Amino acid sequence: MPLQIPGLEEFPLREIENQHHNFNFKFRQPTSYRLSNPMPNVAAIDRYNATTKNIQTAIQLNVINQLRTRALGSNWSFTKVGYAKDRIIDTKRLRLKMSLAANHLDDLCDYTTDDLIFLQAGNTIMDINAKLEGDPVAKKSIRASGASNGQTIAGAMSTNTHGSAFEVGSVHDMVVGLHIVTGANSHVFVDRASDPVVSDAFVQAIGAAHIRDDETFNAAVVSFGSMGVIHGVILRTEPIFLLEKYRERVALTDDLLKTMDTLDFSHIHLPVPENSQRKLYHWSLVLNPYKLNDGERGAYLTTIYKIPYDATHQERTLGDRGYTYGDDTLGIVDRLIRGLRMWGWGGRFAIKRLANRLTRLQYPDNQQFPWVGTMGETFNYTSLRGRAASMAVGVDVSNTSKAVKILLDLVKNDKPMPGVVGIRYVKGTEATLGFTKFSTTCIFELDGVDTPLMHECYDLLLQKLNEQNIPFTLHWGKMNDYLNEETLQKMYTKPKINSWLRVRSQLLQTDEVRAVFTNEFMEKCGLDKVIAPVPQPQDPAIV
Amino acid sequence: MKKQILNLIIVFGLLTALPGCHTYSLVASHDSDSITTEKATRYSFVGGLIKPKNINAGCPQESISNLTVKTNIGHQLITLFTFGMVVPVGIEWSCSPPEENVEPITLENE
Repeated sequence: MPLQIPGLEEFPLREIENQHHNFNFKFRQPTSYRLSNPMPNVAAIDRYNATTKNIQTAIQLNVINQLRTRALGSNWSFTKVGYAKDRIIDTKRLRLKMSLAANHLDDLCDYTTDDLIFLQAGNTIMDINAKLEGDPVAKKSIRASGASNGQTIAGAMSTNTHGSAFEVGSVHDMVVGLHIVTGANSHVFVDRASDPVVSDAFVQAIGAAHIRDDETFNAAVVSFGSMGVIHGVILRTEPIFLLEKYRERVALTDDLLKTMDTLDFSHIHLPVPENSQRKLYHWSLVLNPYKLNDGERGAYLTTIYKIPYDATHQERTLGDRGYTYGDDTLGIVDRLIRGLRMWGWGGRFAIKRLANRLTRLQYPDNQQFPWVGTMGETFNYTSLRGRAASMAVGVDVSNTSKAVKILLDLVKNDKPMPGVVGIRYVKGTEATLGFTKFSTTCIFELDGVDTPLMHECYDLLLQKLNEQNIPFTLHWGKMNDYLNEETLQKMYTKPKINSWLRVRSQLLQTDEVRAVFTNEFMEKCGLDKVIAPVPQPQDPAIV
Repeated sequence: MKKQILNLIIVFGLLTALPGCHTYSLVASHDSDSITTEKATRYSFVGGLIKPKNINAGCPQESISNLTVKTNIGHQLITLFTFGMVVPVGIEWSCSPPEENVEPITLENE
């Protein structure tokens, strides 16, 4: 019997391909759920609360039928971290956006109502940018973004999407409050005790129980769908600003390596000096590992400054002239590489040409700088097509040059990697299982063709980092087959993992509902274990 | 003879199943209202004299965000071997997400 609930739809979904086309996932159930906000002509908060009830109904149905499920956003991850064996809950139609009033904020809240926005989980980064930057009265900006903008806010937050704002942090570091539906009869709003945000009036408005606790917030904010369904987040924003981008092709000199290890920019020449109106915001590199010999300019340096918004700024749009690679190009390249590997040095030669071509496609010589745009215009849609691979490794900033040398040696002497290396820096996070855990985290992104050779390069790099005792973490949403219970404990330590498990055991209160939100990835990593929560003080208002 | 026909069928089937698509995309927005994309294959016959009926996009907002037209080698071979009498094409599209402006949180007793 099909569901007859406004806002909760059952739709056929036997199999799905992820956004980056590197795997298909088959569900055990023939249908999944899709949420939308019912009652189009009533107040947003009432529609929001009706959807909370629908989420609880969806959870209840899965508990009764002992089915595994997970909320899914834009399907952006390169891995199956966000999937469940039986079905998913499609959240992409949940786009409500609400402003808070003064009485919704706690007396100790450090933010004003202008700083905050309450967003439903399905709002994509591009949608949020459009609304904030297009506000006719008070334009605003998100504070940090990944390189692209197709993810939902819940998905980007939950997998530690990070960008390269080295003094600001990752996407989830902008989130100051979480509304999580944790069972058929339970839902909670969580904020930090060290950073209180909401008042009783807000919590009553959404009808949730209130948890004000750093440990709970820090665990839930990066939990890749494991702690229930994240229905809404409160996001901290700021008045709109512009980003002034420069790009240069440089050689990998000792001075550049010193800068990469310290983010002390006195070792190199910045494109323009900082001043009170121009502050360094983003610094990243892309390395073509085949063009870094003695003086070769195979490093593409991107420097972005934050500058005041100018009301005369003209909106930038993507051009539609010219050509780009086709949808099947990377798949064909994958097959070519598999064949070329039999050719020894001939294969290496071809892969080198491929990497050079990929770099020139991404960074053509005719681009003009400085390039000025808003956050939304700068970090816009990345139209990845075909079988792309991406792994992101986090290390402490001080280990950057060591890791670069390991990688370049690997490519030169061991395996020709069919891709390029991105290096970005992010301010460290408080999130319990945030992979940007180092106080300044350097992230190596190894992007290329999804082919067995690329995965062998990944495995070899991680093996060599271990041999050299360089601590590292892996992005939850990118390729991370290396992760298991043992490796996770080494990355995060047992106390941190136990803290995360304890919070999960507290939020998902029964074995049945925990089973619903458990997937194979979690089982592999030992993240399905139950740890008895610490007894809480008996305050009925705040838990 | 039968073996030759069977071989031809197998080769034709493989060619149809092989990727190698030509794609043309029209984009109003890269955003969409679902994790799934709608797909359809349609055939036009007799040099276009007989065309398929319009596809009902089925978008709740009555708005498409992006559309891709695809042909693959199988489609092209069908067109070639029928001398243009049968022309298949694949179409994929995504629906626009609901447009929601920022609203204040208002309750009855506020």
